[in-house]
Formats: sequence, structure tokens, C-alpha cells
Amino acid sequence: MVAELTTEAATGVVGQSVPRVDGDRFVRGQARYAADIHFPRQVECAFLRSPHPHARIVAIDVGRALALPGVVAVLTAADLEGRVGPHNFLWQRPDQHYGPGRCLAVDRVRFVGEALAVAVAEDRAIAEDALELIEVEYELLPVVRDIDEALADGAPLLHPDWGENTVDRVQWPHPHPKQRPQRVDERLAASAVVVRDVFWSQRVQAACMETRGTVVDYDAAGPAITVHTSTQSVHQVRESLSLMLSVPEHRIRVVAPDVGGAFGAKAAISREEAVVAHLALRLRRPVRWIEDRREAWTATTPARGQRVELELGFDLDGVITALRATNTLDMGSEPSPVGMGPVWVTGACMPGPYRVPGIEIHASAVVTNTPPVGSYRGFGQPEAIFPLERAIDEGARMLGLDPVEVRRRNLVEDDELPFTTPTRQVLDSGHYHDLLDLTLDRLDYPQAVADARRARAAGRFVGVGVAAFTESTNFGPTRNLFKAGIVASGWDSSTVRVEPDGHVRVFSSQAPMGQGIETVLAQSVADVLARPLDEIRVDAGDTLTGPYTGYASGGSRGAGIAGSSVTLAARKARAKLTAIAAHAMEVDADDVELDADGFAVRAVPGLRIAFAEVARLAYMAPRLPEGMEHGVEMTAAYDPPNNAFTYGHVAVVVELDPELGFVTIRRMVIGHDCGPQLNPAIVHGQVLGGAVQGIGVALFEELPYDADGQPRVSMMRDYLQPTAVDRPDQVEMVHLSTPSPYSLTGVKGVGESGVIATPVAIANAIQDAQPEGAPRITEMPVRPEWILDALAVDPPDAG
Amino acid sequence: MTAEREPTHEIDLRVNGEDVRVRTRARTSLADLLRDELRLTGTHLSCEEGVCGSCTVLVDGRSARSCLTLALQAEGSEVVTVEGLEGKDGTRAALQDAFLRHHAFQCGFCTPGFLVLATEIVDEARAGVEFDHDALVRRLAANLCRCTGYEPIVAAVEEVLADGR
Repeated sequence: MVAELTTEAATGVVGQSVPRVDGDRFVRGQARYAADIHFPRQVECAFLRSPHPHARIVAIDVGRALALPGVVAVLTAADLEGRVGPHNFLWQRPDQHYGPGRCLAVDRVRFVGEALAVAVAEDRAIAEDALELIEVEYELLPVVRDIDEALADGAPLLHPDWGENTVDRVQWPHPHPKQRPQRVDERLAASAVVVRDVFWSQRVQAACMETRGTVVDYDAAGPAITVHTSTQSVHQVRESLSLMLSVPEHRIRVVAPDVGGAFGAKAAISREEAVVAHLALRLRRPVRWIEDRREAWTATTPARGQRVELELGFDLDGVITALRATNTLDMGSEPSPVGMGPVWVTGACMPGPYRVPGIEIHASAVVTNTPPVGSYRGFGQPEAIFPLERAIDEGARMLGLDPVEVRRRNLVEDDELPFTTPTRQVLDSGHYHDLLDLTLDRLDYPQAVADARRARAAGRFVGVGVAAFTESTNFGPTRNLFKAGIVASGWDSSTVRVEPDGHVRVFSSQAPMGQGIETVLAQSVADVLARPLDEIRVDAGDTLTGPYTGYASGGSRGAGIAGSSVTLAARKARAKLTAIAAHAMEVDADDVELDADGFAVRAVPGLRIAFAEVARLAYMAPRLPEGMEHGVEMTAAYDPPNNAFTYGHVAVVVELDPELGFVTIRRMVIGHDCGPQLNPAIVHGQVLGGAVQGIGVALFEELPYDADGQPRVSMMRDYLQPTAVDRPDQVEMVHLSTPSPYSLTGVKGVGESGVIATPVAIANAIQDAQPEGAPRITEMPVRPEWILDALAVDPPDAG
Repeated sequence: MTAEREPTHEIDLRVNGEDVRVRTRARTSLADLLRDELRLTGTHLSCEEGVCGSCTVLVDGRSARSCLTLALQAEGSEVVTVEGLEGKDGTRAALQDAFLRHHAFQCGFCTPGFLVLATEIVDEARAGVEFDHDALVRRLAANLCRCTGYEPIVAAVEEVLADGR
């Protein structure tokens, strides 16, 4: 019965798992990343970074560094004064505090790794040698290491002018005279059980295989710069540079070359991008900066680091009665361009895919002497789903109910969709229950539970865990962005140009970063224009060629929003070509249709004209239909009416090794619905890759700081991430394809799906594998030593 | 500029089947020599500490982390980079085709390292080394990929190993 819900591949090439249209260069070693780009007269730069978590800069002497042969310039904050403004902010909430936002630290450093000088030299090695010759006198200041220290009475203030260490606060429901009272106290008091726990989602990093890098070319005419930078958002970078450097936008071209992974970490302007662009203008020559891995661990924005104090009430039947959450983000030393965005999203997504009658959610962000938090795949959503889905399991255990049954009793029903959550998110479409059934059927849930029980009785530690999630995608319509405090528009535009020979060139300002956007855009255009894929080329990630798009690639929006704008542009091109074809054949345009062989006249067999001939006419015909301009270059914009919510369920079976504390994932099934799939292989790859990153979050990854506030990760080997042996042999997937009413093509996003519920499904399975009475999992990652301690706990009835 | 230049050394090696003579500094890594001097930018630097394997090349048929290999150590050696995997006429190698078919890359940054590592594995299999599934997975765990979740990479290499049998 569920199978009929699946809409299979549409006609044509949309819906087919075609190989990546840009794939050849990647397998031949001919992709071109930032570090591969060189220009004549180029110089290289390197940043001096603070070795202290909190210190006053008493004096900086760059004299010896400047004297080193091969050194071209050494700059500190004083040299940028009045020439490079503070970085601008994507998220600007009305009452938030702002940090200095300076690209090189002024007077004070607030985290290990904060840049305070830049050396420019003939090559990178000399630039690094120069850094060693810069003399800095620091006066050490007391260190704020974590949320508790930031909020303690008499805590040292990172930004004394704020008068506090809290950046901003927000609550749901938003205070409003007409707001229905939530009666959360009363509802919790009347609940059969209330789960109360404090959850911690650890600091992690996207850890892209390619570090960041910016190579800026200089043109004396203008002067103008071309910024080749490893970014997800070319127009955002252009806008930011224009504001920060006071250079008009038409003199700045931003190009995303091939981007070696981004996952959010390259989503907004970075301090280094602005410094390198400034250096090119200042020195009047090309300047390169390629981040090395050692600096990347502190200089690239990390993510997460959020505490959720949760109370979740249930009645005797396991129906959720109320939710109260206090969410606190450790946002690092000052707001990054995304500010408190992640904890805002956590608050907004706290009710997950469930009906929650009463809510009270307080979210805030505090500053600590660690790097400013930025974006990373999931962006606040895993931090919501981890506590929620742990608490549902715990509530089920307290009530003696099956955790899946408790989910069934609370999941939003089909006939409630579109469903407005109490945090004002609109869950638009789907079949939440059917997909749960499909997922559990694939796992054979009753059998898996019975097998695990049997294994435990035999002394093994086997457990089953399930978790549900929603993923906010197609982020977002311009009006929703501004409502959340984001100063960027959400609309996307694309251009489709049919060349005089009939081949098609597509321009998009989305940035390819591995997500396969060129391929799905080519597929979308191929279907509308009935052209083969090899006659279509997509050029993306360049402000010179691509039409404006406000937000670009992030928030799982490329396929849904750019896919919609490119479809509209292709339709405009088809309409124009159809009119030209009709004019040439002297028939009415309504009687002409396009197929793979060109334009044909309905009802007149044999009367047709080839696509390439019509394209030629568009450019060469002495006469076109009355009033029509020559050429076929059509631009269309699309602003979605709302976000679209992808959703799904993750079910896993784990076994714990009682000797070593290691976790083996025996099975993992993901049920997933992102609407119609433009390219199922790409969808599969997005979910799978995200799920394996989720394994890393659940079991390995962490950016800890020691008692002195020093980062304990400074090399790749310090940051454990999944390798080929750390995953189940096969991540099994089942899909539904329920179209969203909120995108032109019904497509919802997929980029963040895998990473949202995988970690907590694993945590739930680990909990299930442990003996009754073992401590509850409330923190990630679940380390081997924690598991060994937990397994050592005697069951209460035996103790 | 009156820079006191570091001493350089002239070395001979073969890279992707061609004889090369270059001058290099003692501190130059093989990766930097390939990327900066020979402009073979397919070899990628990610961690520069030998952990991730993005910079993997073959030196005399054995995989090596070119970030931890000094250029001088490659003197007299036969070096193969990702650019050397395709045929002289540009025909893709079987592994390159398999990576395309299986969507075994997303951002592509780790791909050259995996392709070179897989080339070594396939060469060993041709020489009679048996790779069952687990042995192949363990061997591929030498390199890091942040995008794909590894499953399609394993599948692509497994397919080529099966075809070669």
C-alpha cells in the first residue's frame, strides 16, 4: 500500500540517476580548486594567530619580519583601520550584541587562532618564516572556557561594553498579546511522566577535505578584483566585500572554483577573504592565501556546542503533553556572520515532527574564549532532534511502552498537513506514519528487537534505536529569512541561453561543492527543452556570469529553489523558440509542440523544424514575430512561497564491544522523503554521506579545550572522523516522494537529511544495548570509555 | 631583493612516464614539487601530516603520502599521479570509469588519492593478492573522504577487482 505513494522517475532525464555531468575532470585530476590557481606577479600570505585564548595585545613589532628578504608587507589591525571594516552579518537580530567583527584583532585576542597580523611574501614558506619574526607582547586575561563560566556571577566579560556575556535571547511562543497561553507548568504537573535531562551537543567542525583558500587577481583598471574563493555563496561574498572594503560591487567579481567540500563552513564571508581582497587592492597585485590544516582547526568556524535543558511530559498513553526547553549556544568569542542562527533554528525545530500542545522554549547564545561558531550541515537541527528523540525513548521506558509506539501516537497525521508547529514552522507535506512503517518493515523491527533481547540474554550488548526527524529545506522565501533576522534575500535566479547553434548554456549562481548541482540543473533544463544532456553546459558559482542569487548554496536549497528558477528560465526559452518556430512555419504557436526532434505542428504530420534551426533563426532571421527581440537568453527568478520540510526516520542496530567499548553498527535503515528526486543517485549520496558524518558526531568527533583554554585538536589525527571501516557495509534506504506544495517542481532539499537523526538513533541503540539502570546518554560523542563505564554499572535489581 | 637563497639540488625522476629534471630545495616535499614546479595539481594537499591520503601518489609502484615524502627522496624514481592514470589517448582507466558510474566522489578533493590507492590495490590483485570485501574496506580506510560515506568508493573498486578476475 505504501509503494503506490512513491512517484517514480518522471519522463525524460529528470528522475534518472545519470552520472555527474561535470564528473570527468574530477576523476582525471583536472578539477581546479583555489590552491591550483596562480597568477603572474602573485604573492602569498600567511596569518599570525594568537597562541592565547584571551589576552590584551600590548604591543606588536613587525620590524624584523619586514626586513626578511622576500617579504612584501606585514600588516596588523592598525594598518586596516579605516580601510577594512568589520565583517558584516547575515543574521542580524534586533536586540543582539555585536562583537568587533574585525578581520585582524584590535587590542585584544579572544580565542586561540584569532588572526592579529598577516605577512605577505614571494612564497608561502617565506611568509611563514616572517610570522616567526613578529614580536607580540601579550597581557594574559582570565579565560572563559564554557557556558557555565560565561554565565557565572562575576564572570570575566569578553566584551566589557556589553555588560554581560549573553549575545541574544529569543523565546517561543514569541511574546504577543494574542498568543494563546501554553500552560506548560500546569500541563507538566498533570503529566503521567516527565523526562528531565540536560543534553550536550559537542563542538564539531565540518572538516572539509579542502581547507579554505582565496586567490585574488588584480586589475589596475577600475581598479577591480576577481576573488577566486572556496565559498558556497558568491553574491554574499561580493556584497560583504563591497561593504567592508568600500568598493562598489561592479568592481568585484567573485568566483567559486571547484570547492572541496563546504557543508556550511564556507557559507558566509570570512575574515581572511576580506584581508586577502584588501591586500590585492593595497599591493596592486594578485594575492594568494591557502589555509593550512593546522590553522583550519581554529580559524575555520566550528559548529554546535549547545546545551539543551529539556522537560518533556507524557500522559499515560505516551501522548506528549508539553515541552519546555532552555537552549544555550556556546557561540565562541563573538558572533560570526551567522550569529545565534544555529540556536534559533534549534528552538524553532524543537517540536520535531510531533504534535506538542504546550511549549515554552528559551534560546540564548553566550560568548566564550573559543572560535566563533558558524554553519555546519544540520545547522541547529541535530541539536534539537538529539534531546527530543532521546527523551521520547526515555519517556517510553518510564511508561513501559514501545518507543516506536510512542512516536506513532505523536507523529503528525497526513490529514493534519500542512501542519503549523507551535514554533510557527509549516510542515508542508508527507506521510510521516507510512514512512515509519516502511522503515521499520525494511529493518524487520519486531525481529530486530527480539534478536537484540536474545543477544542480551546471552551476554552480548546489542540494541535497536529509532529516531524521527524533519529537515527544513528550500531555505527560504525572502520574507521568512527576514522574519528570522537574516539580512539576505532567498530568491534565486538562473539564465538559460540557447546558443545560435542550438546548444544550451545555463548560468547559475549556486556554487558546486560536491552536491551535484550542475547535474540536476542540466537535467531540469534537458527535460524542458527536450535536449540531450551533452548539449547542455552549466556554468555556476561566478558573479560575472550568474544572475543574482541572495543566499546561494546552503540550507538545502539548490535543487528546490535553483531547480525552480532554472525550470522557469528554460520554459521562457521554450516559449520564445516555439513562437519563432510557429512564425517560420506560418502556423499558430498554440499548434506547435517541442519534442526531441525539434518543433512539430500538431495535426500536420511531417511539418516540423529542427531545434538548432529555430535557434539559428532566433539570432539570424531577418524577421522575427512582431515585436520580438533577437537572441535567446532568458532569466527567471524564483522565490518559494515557504520552506519545504523533508522528513524521515532512522533505525539502527548496534553491538557494543564490552572489552574495548567500541560500537559496531550492524544495520542502518533510513526512510526518507524529499519529494520527487531529480537524480536518485545524488539523493542517495547526500543522505549516505550525511549519515556517515552523523556516525562521526555520535561516536568520534569533538573539538575539546583543555583547562587552560587551549584547543586539543590541532592536527587531522586529533580529530577522529569515520573511515571506510567505521560504517555499516550498507546504509539501507527507503524513500517516499511526496511533492511539496511550496516549490515549483515539488522538490524538497536533501543536503542535511542524513546528519540530523543518525546520531541520536545510534545513541538510542547504544542505550538499548546497555543493561537496565545504566546511565542515560545525554552527551555526544558517546566515547568508548563512557560505554565501558556504563557497562560496568550493576543492574539495580541485582545491586 | 638581495635574498640569501636556499641551496637547491638538481634531481632526475620519471613522472607519469616522462623523464623530468628539476631543481628543488631540500625542504620541498614531493607534493609541492608536483604541484608547484610541475603544475600537476591533481595531487591534493589536505592535512599535510600523512593522515588523510589526499596526496597519495605511486612511487615505484607503491603508494606514498607525497606530503611526507621529500622531493629529494624521489630521485631516480618512477612517480605516478592521478594525471597518469588515463591512457595516452585520454581513455579513462577502468577505475576512473567505475568512480563515475558509482558516484564515488562528490566534492572530488579526496578522489585523486583514492584513485591512486585503488590503482595500487588493483595492481596487487593482478599480481595475485586476494582481496575479500573486508580486506578491501580495511585497505581503503587508509584515506579519508568527507562526502560520500565510502560505500560507493568501495563498490567502484570492488567492481574493477571483479572485472579483473
